[in-house]
Amino acid sequence: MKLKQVKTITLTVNGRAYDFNVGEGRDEMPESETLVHTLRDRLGFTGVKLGCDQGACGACTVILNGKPVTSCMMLTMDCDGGEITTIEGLADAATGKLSGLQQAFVDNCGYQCGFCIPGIIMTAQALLDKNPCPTETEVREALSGNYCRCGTHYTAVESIMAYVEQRKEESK
Amino acid sequence: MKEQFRHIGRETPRILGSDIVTGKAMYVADNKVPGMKYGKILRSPHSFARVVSVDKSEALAMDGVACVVTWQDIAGEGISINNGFTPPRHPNILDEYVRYLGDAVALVVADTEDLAMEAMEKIKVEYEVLEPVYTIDEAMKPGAPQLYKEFPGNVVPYKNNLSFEVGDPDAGFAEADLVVEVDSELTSGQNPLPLEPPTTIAWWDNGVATFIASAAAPAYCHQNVASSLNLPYENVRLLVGAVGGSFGSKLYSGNVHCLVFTALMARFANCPVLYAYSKEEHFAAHQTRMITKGHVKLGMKKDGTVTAIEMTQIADAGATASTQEFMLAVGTNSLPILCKTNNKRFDAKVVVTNHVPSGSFRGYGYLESSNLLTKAIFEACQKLDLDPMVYLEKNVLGLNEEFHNACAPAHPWQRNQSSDWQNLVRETAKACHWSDRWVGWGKPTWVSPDGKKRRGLGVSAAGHADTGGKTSSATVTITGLGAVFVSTCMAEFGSGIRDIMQKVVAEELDMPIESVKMSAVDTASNPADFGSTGSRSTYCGGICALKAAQDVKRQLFEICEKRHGIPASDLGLKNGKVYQLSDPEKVFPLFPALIGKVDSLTGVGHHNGVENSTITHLQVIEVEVDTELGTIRLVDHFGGSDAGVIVNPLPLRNQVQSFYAGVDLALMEETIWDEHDYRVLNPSNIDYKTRSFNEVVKHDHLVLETNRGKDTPYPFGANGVGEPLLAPGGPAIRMAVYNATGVWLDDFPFTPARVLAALKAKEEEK
Repeated sequence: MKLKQVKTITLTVNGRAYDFNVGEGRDEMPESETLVHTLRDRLGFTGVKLGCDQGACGACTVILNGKPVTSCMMLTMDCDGGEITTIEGLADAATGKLSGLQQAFVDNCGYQCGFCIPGIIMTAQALLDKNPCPTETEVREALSGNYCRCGTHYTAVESIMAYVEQRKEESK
Repeated sequence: MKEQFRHIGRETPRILGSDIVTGKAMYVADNKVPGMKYGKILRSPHSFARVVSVDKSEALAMDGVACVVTWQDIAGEGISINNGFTPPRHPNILDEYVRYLGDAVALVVADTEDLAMEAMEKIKVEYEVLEPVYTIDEAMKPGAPQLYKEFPGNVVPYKNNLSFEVGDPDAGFAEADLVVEVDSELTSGQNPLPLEPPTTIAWWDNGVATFIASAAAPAYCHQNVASSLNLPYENVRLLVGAVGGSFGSKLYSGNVHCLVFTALMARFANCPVLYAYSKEEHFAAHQTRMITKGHVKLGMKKDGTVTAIEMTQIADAGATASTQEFMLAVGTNSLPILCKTNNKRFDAKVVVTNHVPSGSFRGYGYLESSNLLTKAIFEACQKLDLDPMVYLEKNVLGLNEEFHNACAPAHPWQRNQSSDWQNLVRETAKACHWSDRWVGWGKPTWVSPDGKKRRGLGVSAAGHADTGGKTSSATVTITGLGAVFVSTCMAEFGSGIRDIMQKVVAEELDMPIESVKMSAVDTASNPADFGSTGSRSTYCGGICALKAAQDVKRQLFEICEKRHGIPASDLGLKNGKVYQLSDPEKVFPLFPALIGKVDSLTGVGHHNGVENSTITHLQVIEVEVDTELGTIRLVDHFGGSDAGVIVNPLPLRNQVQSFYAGVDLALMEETIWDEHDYRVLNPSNIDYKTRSFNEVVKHDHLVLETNRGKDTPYPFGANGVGEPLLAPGGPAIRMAVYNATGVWLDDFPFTPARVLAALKAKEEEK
């Protein structure tokens, strides 16, 4: 039995807390690790996609303390104590029921290959958390950092707006 | 012919839909194979050099580094990127020579990606730098440095039909009212750029190179990987889950480097290896759109009748000759699609140069050739003052019209059975109010009061004639309890092809859609299939699924006839039960009436690659040019297609809206090369400009269903709208900019600097 001093950080991801020992050892997290790798490789949240690793495509977007961030541009060390929501955190964990926003994408076929969609949904979710009834222009501005090659420029936005309209109806 | 369908044309959520929105869809890098390590590649800093020596000792000494593989480790094994047919094998992967800045020098495998990158820095390489060639002209200059001893003069021998003459071109030119000749080229090296970079996991299982791959056409890729690794076909296996976009770049019909590298990494590391291209590699070391130049001579009568055409074309393969000659061959389809003449002469070449390989990108060869060809067509129409829509209506193929398909040299005279494309031109013109908007060549549709902003209208068409030419296979298995399994290698990268096959089978067997399950994509356990490529998958995937379903029905009816004495011709199948057509009360559940409970029958569907199938798409585009800033804004975009019959309405709408890479070829997308060493200077999503969500344009489209209610060779009449969604964009914008400003721009993309330079040159001419 050896005693060792360890540096630890804590992330809360989709409502559960995780501790990581920081260091150079094989089972430790290096200080240089970015959040996308911690989420994908250490925690298995592979719904977070790694697209460009340059902060330019938005595929790895997660919500950190209420703000959408490109997780490939965040050092995990800088997220110590942070609350993170990934795409895996949107559906009901117990029943698997899709969130209203997710269901709107399914109903409106707001995807093609789907690789950009987790990032797009998380960007939209972060916007909706702040602004429950955004205009189409506001949605498009929010998504301006999300890259899609298939051309869901219309149907992804229609999906989001359909959800916004549905919420407006429900709140009447 | 059925007009009312149970499933065809009805909206159902995509099979992969809920997995996509929850993040559960498994793309390659989402898999973790036990014992898996990570690969990286040390790439050449020179565009042409001989690798004199590699010292890998320091890298190998690092804790956690599994292997470093260099050309010497595989020398003599005959490993090279090829398809086993054409062009000739040449040592284009991990060779003693590096042939572009970015070519592979050493493959490194380590416990983590970071460690592999650290190890890469410890590898010492000595190069003998050689003189490179970067352009078609440099490569073909007498005495130019040679990339491969197999390709004297840097010209690649080919087997496709790239040199032909039909009819009497000289007589045709003599008959013409006008003959135009133009030189044209496409040099922007656009990147297909799916969001998911090329990514592969490989391991060796009893001598079988096994892959989890992001492959858009898995069986075709399988063939090319086997051939490149010099293995028998059965010693390769591809497992394909969700594919994060392809646009031609993940067909791996040519550039299978990504898989071959990973297989070698796994072999030398003796463990599963994941190798994902970084975005920088994706831009600078995978493949770009083919660079090509050509000369076109076109003879035309005053009414738009083309009397003869002569075209020469050269393709720049970059450092690997692979799929380019096939692209040139498919590109010859632009001749019958856009010019109705049987007097034709064509000649093409492929050359190799010292830059990143070129390869397939949506619009396989015909985007390139239609860009070259329309330059001559537009010039002739302008000189004859002919409405381009009138030209198109006259020149696209009518239904059952005979045409010469050079791409199928064994039986080149074919009949277009797909659709009346002349009807499509008429209907598109009507739907976009063409006749109200077309004001003539060189005339703007609108000018701002200060005269600075000018709008112009343009149109172009594109398509090809090999949508049916390749083979497809699938099987349909039905169990005693009425479960249905479709076995196929067709992979899903966004179009919804697997949903189409599911619907076709459910329709034919008259089953609930939920009872029909699609197999996983495993090339070692499903019938081989050319794949979802070349605008073919709705037709070919659909027809082989339909045939397999018909085959299983036939077997059930035969058993029923034998056991219960009712003639097969008087039998139907509905919801997993056979019934008598003349007495529908008489019902035979498969179990126990026909087969056992844990028992099944399998129907086989094979599509033999028939001819006579074409596809055409039209785009009408209005632009606004700011003559002070040189910017071009799309004012209106309209697309016209004929799907035959629509199978999946919403995915089809997504497909016809997927045109941005086409218009942006003309407006913003380009690979920028350093002229000194042809390194890619913009290898990032920031520096390579693409269309963002806040820059969308007003778009509408027309999708005809002219096969509805007709007896056709297509599955329930469905032909699909295919992939020509990019090809007409560039030419239509070029025409629109001319009409707005009076200047013909030639070099894509039409950046503000180029627009202003052209306007200035025009001003100075006056």
